[in-house]
Amino acid sequence: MGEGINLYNTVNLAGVFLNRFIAFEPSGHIKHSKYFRMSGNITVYDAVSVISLGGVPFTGPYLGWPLCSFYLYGYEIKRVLEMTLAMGGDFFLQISGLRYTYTPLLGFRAIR
Amino acid sequence: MISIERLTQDGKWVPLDTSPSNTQLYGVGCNLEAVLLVPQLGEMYPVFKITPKNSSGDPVSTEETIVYNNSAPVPDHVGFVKFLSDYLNGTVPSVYNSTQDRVRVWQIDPSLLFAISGVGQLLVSQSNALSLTLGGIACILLIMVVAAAAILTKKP
Repeated sequence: MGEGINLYNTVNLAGVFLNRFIAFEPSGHIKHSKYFRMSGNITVYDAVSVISLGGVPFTGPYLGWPLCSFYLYGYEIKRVLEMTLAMGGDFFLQISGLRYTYTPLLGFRAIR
Repeated sequence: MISIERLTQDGKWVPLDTSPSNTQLYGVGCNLEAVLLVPQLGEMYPVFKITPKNSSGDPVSTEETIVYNNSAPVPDHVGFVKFLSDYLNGTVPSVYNSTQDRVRVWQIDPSLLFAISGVGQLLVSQSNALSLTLGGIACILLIMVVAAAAILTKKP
């Protein structure tokens, strides 16, 4: 497995594609944790099965949630992080371009 | 929240200024699912209210945040394919090759503790040797799980 890419690292995809330095991806939206070998072929099925949910309610029948791009102030980004910690589970955001430390609310939780 | 750092273009981590007086805008990318939740969460929990903005700082609607390519919205998985293709060509920064100092979170589901202790009590309440033995094992398991949690969570 050493040559593969852990998908939980590849949540940076939005950041790469949009050339943004901060990107969020809800954990519940990543449907596979498979590894892709560098030498292996990657099919459309592979890509869609990893991020398969959603559609576009505004403009027509498109498969998958579209990427969005916008700007936030620093204190709003902090609110986003606090929100993801409060909600957790599928709503917990996988993040690229940021790192943070927080105080755990209960004993059974890591800090970073 | 103790501290927040952001990655700069030259690959350095710098503290993110989260004071309300900081008017610098930071570009954010995510999918529509997350953006759709923003207004609802703002109404339910005003303390978490955020307002997506354009590069000028003016508020934008949810629809206006969608990224289009030739009038078609760009789905998440296309971004994923782009990432993988970049990786296969060797153009993705090497920072993505590691876990980036992420800490694996170890958690106990509280319902598991209830289940183990419930099974233990149930078996102990049955007055025969086998039930007592199984009940004892369940109690020992419970103690071991709690002890392991206490030890593991001491590590930062």
